[in-house]
Amino acid sequence: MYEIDFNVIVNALPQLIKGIKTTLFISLISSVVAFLIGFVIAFLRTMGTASLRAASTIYVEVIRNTPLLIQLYFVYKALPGFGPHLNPVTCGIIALSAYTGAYISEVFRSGINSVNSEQYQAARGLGLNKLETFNLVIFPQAIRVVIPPLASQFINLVKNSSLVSVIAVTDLFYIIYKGAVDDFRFFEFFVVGAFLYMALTGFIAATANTIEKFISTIQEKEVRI
Amino acid sequence: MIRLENVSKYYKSLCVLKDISVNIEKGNIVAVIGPSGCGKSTFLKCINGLVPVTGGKIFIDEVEITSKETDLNKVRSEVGIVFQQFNLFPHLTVRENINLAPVKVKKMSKNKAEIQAMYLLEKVGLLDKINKYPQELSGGQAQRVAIARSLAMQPKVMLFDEPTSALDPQMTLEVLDTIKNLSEEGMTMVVVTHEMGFAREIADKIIFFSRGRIIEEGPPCQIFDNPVNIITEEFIKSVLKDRKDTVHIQKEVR
Repeated sequence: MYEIDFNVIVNALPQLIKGIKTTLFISLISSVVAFLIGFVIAFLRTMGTASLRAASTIYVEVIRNTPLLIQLYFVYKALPGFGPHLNPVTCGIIALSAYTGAYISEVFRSGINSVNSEQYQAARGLGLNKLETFNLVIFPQAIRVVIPPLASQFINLVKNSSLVSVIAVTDLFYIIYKGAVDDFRFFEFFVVGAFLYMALTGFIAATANTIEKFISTIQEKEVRI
Repeated sequence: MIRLENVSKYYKSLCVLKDISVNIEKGNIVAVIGPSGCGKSTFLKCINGLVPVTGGKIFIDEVEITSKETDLNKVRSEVGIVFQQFNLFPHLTVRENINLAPVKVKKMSKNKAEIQAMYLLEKVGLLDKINKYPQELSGGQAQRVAIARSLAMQPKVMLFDEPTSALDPQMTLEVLDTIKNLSEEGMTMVVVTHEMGFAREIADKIIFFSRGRIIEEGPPCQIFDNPVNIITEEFIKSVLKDRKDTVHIQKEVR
């Protein structure tokens, strides 16, 4: 019978903290970049010229329909053949941002489509250009309705970041796996690892809930007569 | 001021506007009437380039807005449009709705915009609503704010797309009063409307549309009392019968 011994975790604590830091770092940077990519792609797909619309659609479909693992290896192994060599963390951030950005653009697009099309006409009718219309009128209304699915994308991003361990990034998953294999303590490391990931994503879920509540109180104020 | 030459608009094979030529003088008020779905709104939205035309030319102040070189954003900032559904921005307060375009497009200073917003709201009688959100306003109030928002760009022309069709009779009157005040200031206006009494009262010229064509245009007395075309005559007859109530209320107020 297997004897559970969590002391191995205590011994691995300094390593685990390092891993958490790396995972947090990659997730945070990728979240910001993915958000920006999502914003730009959503703008191009809804308001761009025909060729820009087509290009951004192709981007989203290629990214959505290929495994993240292939994208990771592609950036890490295939791209250096054509350009500068990047360190594994940078490669991880690029792949995760590109991947999550495509999904976030779809989330934004669904929000944008829910905004009355006459809002667009009203803004353009006042002389605002496309970008101003998008920035100041359409997007602020769209983002309010997409907070929950947007939070899901960030949660997925944190979990997906565990894949960067395959390109030799010493993130949280890498440390967990290494600890488990070295000490032959799979149960302890994977249970603790799961909880650590839950703690990280739980933080995102809680933040999203707070933002959602905050927005609904503003909206209550808006509809109060 | 506004000149349309043989303008046509097709959606795929569906013809919405056919060979429209109109001339609108500076300071004139033109009412556009006609049955629903006859192209009145499209006509209006073509004038400020919100809807691109399929053929023909449109000039505003001798600038051809249908030409590719024209900066349409600039044209639109000089031609105000007011919609049937108000289309205020729900995430912004009344003040922000009015100040958005002057500050962002005209690069007006915040202070100047603020003073102008207060002046315009005073003019439409809604200064006390400056900090409210659109959802807190009645339909009539929202439409008056929308008018103030358009005026904030100091347009040369104002276009109204059925500005009272979403309002009850009482609110209709507040909005019509606001538009009437504007007309007294010499603003060039094109008003698409179903309010025949109003059209007759304020318009210098009436354009009657049917199936994407201009059937007849002329001064109100011609269109309402001695229409040349039989289609016009029938339309006027049927509408005046339906709209007796509104006309009646308007007479009472006057």
